[in-house]
Amino acid sequence: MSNLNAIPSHLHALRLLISRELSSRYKGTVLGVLWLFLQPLIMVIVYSFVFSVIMKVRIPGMENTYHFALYLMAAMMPFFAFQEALISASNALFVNSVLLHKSTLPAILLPLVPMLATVVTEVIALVIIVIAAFVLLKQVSYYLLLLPFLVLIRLCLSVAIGYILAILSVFIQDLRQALGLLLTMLLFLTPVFYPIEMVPAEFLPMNDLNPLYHLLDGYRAVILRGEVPGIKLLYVAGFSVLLLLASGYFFQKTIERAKEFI
Amino acid sequence: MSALIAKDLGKMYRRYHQPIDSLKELVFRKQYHEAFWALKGVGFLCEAGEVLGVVGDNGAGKSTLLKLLSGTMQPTEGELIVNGRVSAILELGSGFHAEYTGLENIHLGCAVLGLNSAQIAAKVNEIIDFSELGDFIYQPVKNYSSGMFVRLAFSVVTSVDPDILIVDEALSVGDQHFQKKSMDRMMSFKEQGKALVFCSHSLYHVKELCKRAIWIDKGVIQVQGESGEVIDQYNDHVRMQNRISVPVPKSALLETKAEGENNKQLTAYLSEATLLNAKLDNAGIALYRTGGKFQVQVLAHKQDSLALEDVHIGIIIKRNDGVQCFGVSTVLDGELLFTRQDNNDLGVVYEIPELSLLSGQYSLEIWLIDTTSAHVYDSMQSCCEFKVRQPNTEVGVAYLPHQWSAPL
Repeated sequence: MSNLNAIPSHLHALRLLISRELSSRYKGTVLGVLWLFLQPLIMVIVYSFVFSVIMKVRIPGMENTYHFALYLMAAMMPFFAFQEALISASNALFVNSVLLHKSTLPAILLPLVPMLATVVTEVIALVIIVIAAFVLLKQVSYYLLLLPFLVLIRLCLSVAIGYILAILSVFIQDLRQALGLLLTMLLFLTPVFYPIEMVPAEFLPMNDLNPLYHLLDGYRAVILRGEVPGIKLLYVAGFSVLLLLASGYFFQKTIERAKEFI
Repeated sequence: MSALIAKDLGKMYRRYHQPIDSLKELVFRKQYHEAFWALKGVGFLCEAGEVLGVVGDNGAGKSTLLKLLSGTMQPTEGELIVNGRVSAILELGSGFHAEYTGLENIHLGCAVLGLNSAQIAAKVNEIIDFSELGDFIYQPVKNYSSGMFVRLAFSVVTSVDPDILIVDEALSVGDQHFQKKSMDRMMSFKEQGKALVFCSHSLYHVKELCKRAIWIDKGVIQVQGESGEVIDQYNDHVRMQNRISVPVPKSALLETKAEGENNKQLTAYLSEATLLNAKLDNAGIALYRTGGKFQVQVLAHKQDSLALEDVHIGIIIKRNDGVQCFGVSTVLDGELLFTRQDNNDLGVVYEIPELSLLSGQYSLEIWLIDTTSAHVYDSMQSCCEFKVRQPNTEVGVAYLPHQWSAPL
């Protein structure tokens, strides 16, 4: 087990690295940090226009045509944050090879930096969606106060899987290639673009075992339906925490081996 | 209290056919690797206020040792006790981000070294001053010259008030002015009672700066101890590897020998060469001191047909890198050999009253020649190996008499 006790003295470094992670994307751009807001905002506008104004997609039980666009966004944005976290975690050790080899920064912080940064983009997107839900659907409830917990569970699950991917992608080079494909499959297999009611009965158990489904439905519940998320979300939370402990242990156990190949 | 205590440190690199084998090994508890020990059984102490030198060839394990000391790598076996904060100048500025300004990189660099924002704020101005970057500190480091880059990196690494500073080849960076300044700063660390581990190919610097040194070769400590002695031994080793071959008039030699063997007409031969009054070192090699007396006795035998005046001896002192330091013969000096019991048994003692050679490993080349110096009866190559050790840290081949005086 390597330098876990060095983590407290490197918390400031973690903070600076996260802000570097966020600002480096927009370094040298005219709009700068505004891009963080522009991206989700424009997506909301485009989706609403395409699905609600042009295609007029309606889902049974939803009267307002703007509903579908927001229904999509409320699940897609957390999913994108999840996807972004996993992809950046799988690259983190390679991208930061200098810090990995030439500094005493605990290695376990390296994949954490981009994964924590996804919280910032996710929260900005969620704020925009919540505002849009209020403006377009007049939908607002006290259950929105549960959103931070949903984000926390989402982060927990991402980091848990992210640590495993960070290590495995060192040992299995193909993993980084396959990851994008796997995530796209996951996006389509999880009821994001369609409601769970449209899934044939024989495939329902698959959804029930998919922690992402319960998590993403939780976002929809508090943002769009004004309901408390389903009880299964508690299982997902517990599962995420246990997986996080296990994968953190796995990371620490294997990082010295992984370093030999980076 | 020692700042650094290394006990039996070892670092093994595992070589695999493919990365996944490393993971299989962990899961199945079966060995898939070939082991390569970059370091083995390394043990030493470094006291506070001491500068410890580390020398060795490329690939000898120096960098691995420095990585272990600076904590960026874990030893495979053994124990390393570090009392205090370590800061390492390994690859200067390698963690800098090109798109960010010098100032932003100062913050990030210090944070990665484990400082919090208040500690960094207290140091920023000192770092900027020391780096002498002025307004350039607000420019992205990608616009820096390599010298500016290194100045900033050095300023950051040494500003964090380390108790132990690991320095790898940092002297070769920056301009003269900054080199002097960085050297002064490192020396002030020493005076403040901090420990320095100093690794350099500049043996002169190691000898001058360090009281003790370690020579690492093929992953193990060859010698450790007083730096003068360690460096001298390492120098012997380096010269051995870099030796230049001086063309020997082999043809003449072989012809003479061949003639002698075929026709039994070899008219004179060398019978013995012995170093006199030499102390022996631990390895049993003759040891002389710079300024001391050097003597070698050479014996030869000639046939009746040869006149005494036609047999001469030449001696060349060669350093182990092949440099001929000094060579002279009885022909040149107009001397004759001495006869012993028998008129055909000849001999001479070659004496240098004050040996001016500096530290190194030497050997003799002895030639038995005729009065024209052109014909070679016999020769001994690389015989009478001996070592010379000097009391001070002059550099070069020999100590030349000199004086310093007021300018005209």
